[in-house]
Amino acid sequence: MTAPSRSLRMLDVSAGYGATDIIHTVNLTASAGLITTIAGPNGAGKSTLMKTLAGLLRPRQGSIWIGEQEITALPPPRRAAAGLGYVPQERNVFRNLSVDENLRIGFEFIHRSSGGGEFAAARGRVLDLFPDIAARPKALAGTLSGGQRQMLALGCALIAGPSILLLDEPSAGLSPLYVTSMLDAVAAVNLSGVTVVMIEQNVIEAVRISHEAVLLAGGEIKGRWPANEFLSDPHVRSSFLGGIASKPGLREAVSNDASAA
Amino acid sequence: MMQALLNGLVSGLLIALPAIALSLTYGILNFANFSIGAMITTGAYLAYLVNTTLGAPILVAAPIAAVLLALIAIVIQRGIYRQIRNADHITLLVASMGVAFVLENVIRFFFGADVRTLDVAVARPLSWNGLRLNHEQLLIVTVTLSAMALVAIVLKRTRLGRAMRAISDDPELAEVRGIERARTVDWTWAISGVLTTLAGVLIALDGIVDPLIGTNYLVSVFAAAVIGGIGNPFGAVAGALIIGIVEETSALAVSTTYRQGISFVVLALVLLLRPQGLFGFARIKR
Amino acid sequence: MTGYFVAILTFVSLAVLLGFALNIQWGQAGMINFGLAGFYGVGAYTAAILSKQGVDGVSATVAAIVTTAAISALVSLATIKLREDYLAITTLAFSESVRLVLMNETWLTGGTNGIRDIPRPFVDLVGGERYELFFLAACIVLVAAVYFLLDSVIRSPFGRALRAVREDDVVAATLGKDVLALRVKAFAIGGAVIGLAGALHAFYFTYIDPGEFAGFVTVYAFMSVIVGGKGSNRGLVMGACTVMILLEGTRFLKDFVPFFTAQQAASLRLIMIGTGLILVLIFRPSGLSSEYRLSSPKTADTTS
Repeated sequence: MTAPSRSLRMLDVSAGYGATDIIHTVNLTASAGLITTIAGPNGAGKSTLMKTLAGLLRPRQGSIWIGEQEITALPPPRRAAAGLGYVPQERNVFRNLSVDENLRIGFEFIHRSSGGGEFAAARGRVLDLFPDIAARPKALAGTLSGGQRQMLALGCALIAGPSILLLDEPSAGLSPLYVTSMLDAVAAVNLSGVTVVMIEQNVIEAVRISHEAVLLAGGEIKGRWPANEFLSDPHVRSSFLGGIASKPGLREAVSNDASAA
Repeated sequence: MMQALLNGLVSGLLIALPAIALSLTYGILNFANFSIGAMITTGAYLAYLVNTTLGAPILVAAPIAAVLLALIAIVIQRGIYRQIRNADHITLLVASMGVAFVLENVIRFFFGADVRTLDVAVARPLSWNGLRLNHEQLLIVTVTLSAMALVAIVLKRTRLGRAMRAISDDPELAEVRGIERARTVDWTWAISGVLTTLAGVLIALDGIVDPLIGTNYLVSVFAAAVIGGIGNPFGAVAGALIIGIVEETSALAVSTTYRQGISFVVLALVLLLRPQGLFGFARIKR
Repeated sequence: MTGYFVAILTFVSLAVLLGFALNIQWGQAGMINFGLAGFYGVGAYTAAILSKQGVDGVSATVAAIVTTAAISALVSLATIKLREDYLAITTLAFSESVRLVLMNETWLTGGTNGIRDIPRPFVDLVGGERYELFFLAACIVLVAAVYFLLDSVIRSPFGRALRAVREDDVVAATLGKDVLALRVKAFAIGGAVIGLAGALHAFYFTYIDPGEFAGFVTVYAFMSVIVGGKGSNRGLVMGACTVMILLEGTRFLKDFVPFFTAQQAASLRLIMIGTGLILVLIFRPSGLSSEYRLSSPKTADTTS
């Protein structure tokens, strides 16, 4: 995790399933070494955007770049080898394989020619970050709790030493305590120089650790803000938070937090 | 009875090799390979060819045949299964039946329907407390157990094995983790080719070589894989032992000509009562 | 030469019937029947055994249809909740078991010697000379009847429900369709058509043995369906003709390449059939005659 930070860019990318595009001519830059949060209402195309970045979905047009390297045509394994780590929202660990095997798989296909010592060192770094999962190396990943599974998934992406990390809802389904520690872990990873692009439903927690925030709605980028200004921006509040404001409890939480920030 | 049990174990071990192969390709490619019987036959004939025409002893001929069939399997994967667009698992299954048909008839074309035997010496059976174990059976036990141990080591201890299990568990996540699917699929077919060749040679050593030797085992092999929870190679071994023992012990009551019929009944019962396989609970779905 | 064409057309009719059966089982319901040969054998032997016992041809045919349909329903019941792979292997295993019974239960089936001199229905009325032509006419009438019957089934609410189940049985179940009953019925209807074809087979050849009901019959039937375009009964007629032309055309192969033995020529024909099946799957997955798919599900839905 000591490589120089690299940026991730999308230029005029349109992508979707079948004949219909879900994201339209998206231009997005995740600056090197920073955490960028992509926020937006449900159905905005956030997960589609993530899958396009990870290579699981081929863009119909446009290009994708890591630093100065174009990766548009690379399939997911090559993108992973190019330094792109991805944690999907669900199904993000191999459930019938053990914790240790999951970690090893995260490492060995990207560092094909490295010896066992390097893996042990990388494994040690990850387990220092997530002591919770260190206790049960032989347990099948499918038997872990939701929080532990999420940590293992992040650990599997980190163990390869990516320069860019894509996180699809890292706190989904976690208890509030876990949400905070999970995002703290993401912040710690970022401090070591890893560029992070994150989708997060829990926007308040997300902007706490982020540097920049991007609003995605209807498959289009609506704007980009410094993270600490995001929630107080009137445009964001009307087009996005207006959507969740229909849930009374949330509106209160958002406005309280926004004023506190 | 004890003799039948012993024979059943031996024949179960024999069924286990192709059942493992079937489970591996099912787990990774997600389709049932109906050409598994024809692959057994092809492996036996390749060994026969090397054994009798080139005069190589069977211990040399079998590995050569295994490598040849592994290559053929990879060529079939790349030339046929991968070429089928919109390949849902049913289309691939029908294609594999086509492959079986072609393989079987290619063998008929070159070798005719004549019954042949491998060029090996016949030895007296070993006897122990009234139980007889002939040399072929001893060979079956040794070879199958070694092959299974090797497969287990590959699956549990090597990068290839982890790649195979990862793809079987979640193909999309496997790609994200840097696993090249095509390469792993090729290796899976290679292993499948080796295991079916070994089975073919062992069947041939225990009896004869004819164009149907593999097809005659098709139902038993599938029954074994299904009982073990299809896609689970370790379950397939247990399923194969059950099928082997049931087939041999039932021969005490029913004519041996109904061996495949017994497999059908066992298969139908398992599907009705425990469709996920007897060991299906071992896999975590969600 | 006329006799030859009459024979060929009769074969094509039988192949078309088998294809109809696969089209409802596989094309409409998504259920794979790799044991078609076994069900075909059940139909043929039922008709043959009853006719030898003095039962008249029509009753024997009806019995063959009913028996094959009932057995089909039973076999499909075993795997009804599972993926199609399981039905494929179960039907294949069933087919092998049928062959074992045919070969070994000599008291009933004549064993490997088969059953000879099966009485032909209406032979006294028609007379031996014109019988082949009469039989062909009867086959064509039956093919047409089955075609229209199946077409009305496909267009009926039952047919739509069947396709809904094929696409997604969970969704269909939540819509209140009884998935199990639907699939068993579809498989039984297919079985009935196979039973009819089996009976006609027995009466046409007047001699049957277990070797005629081996796996290659299943492959031919699948080939016809795949070439014709899965689910299309009109395309099927063309598919069956193509397969028959391939089979019959290659029969003359050995005249041109004299250094092949008869056995080799036969193998070569089967290799070509198998290769053809694979090539069609790769290059024309929707069949060679997709433009003829007038009775395809979509059209049926919009016109009903």
